[in-house]
Amino acid sequence: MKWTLKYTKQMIIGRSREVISLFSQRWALKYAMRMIIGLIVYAVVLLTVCHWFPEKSPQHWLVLFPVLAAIIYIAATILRAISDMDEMWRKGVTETFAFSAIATAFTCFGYRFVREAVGAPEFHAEWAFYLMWAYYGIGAVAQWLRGR
Amino acid sequence: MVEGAMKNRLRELRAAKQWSQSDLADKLDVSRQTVNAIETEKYDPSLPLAFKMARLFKLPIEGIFELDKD
Repeated sequence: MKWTLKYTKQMIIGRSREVISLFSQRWALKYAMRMIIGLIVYAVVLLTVCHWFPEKSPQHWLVLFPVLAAIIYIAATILRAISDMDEMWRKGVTETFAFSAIATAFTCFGYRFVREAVGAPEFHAEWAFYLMWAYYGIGAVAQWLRGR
Repeated sequence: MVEGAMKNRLRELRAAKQWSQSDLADKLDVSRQTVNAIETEKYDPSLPLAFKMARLFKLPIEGIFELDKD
């Protein structure tokens, strides 16, 4: 029992150190800063646009442009961070993102049919965002299990 | 991280040099987890990384990696 506790403690400390060392790498800090900046810009743009554009404005589509600029910056930051990763991590993250994107796309597409068949609630566009991260989590766990 | 059909002598070569996985990872500019995954044959390295290893151990690539006939 004592041995198991000692071993578990050592394992937790060892793993934590690995995670801390991974996130303290210079690239992680650099891209974390860029992501924070990108997300702040995205939030500010969204709030500003929602404040300025009255509901049902005929120029509603103009909203897309500033929001799109922030989205492109965030996506480019994620892409650069992935391409700067160590090759094994890059492969794992790319596969997980691919799984997440495909699963989200098919879920969104198939939901309409399920909704019509069983009368499920209406699909809200923002659900796709949560779905994507949920699938990313599933993919990450599957990757971890495969690589154990 | 798919179990590949490649076998390698990385652990043996590293041990001969008395390097830790972290030492080797630093020399190859990859993470320690990657070195571990290659040693346990859970990940096959890219060709540039295989060349880097060969250069580091002063061996041909076939001296480190071998295609598993099974």
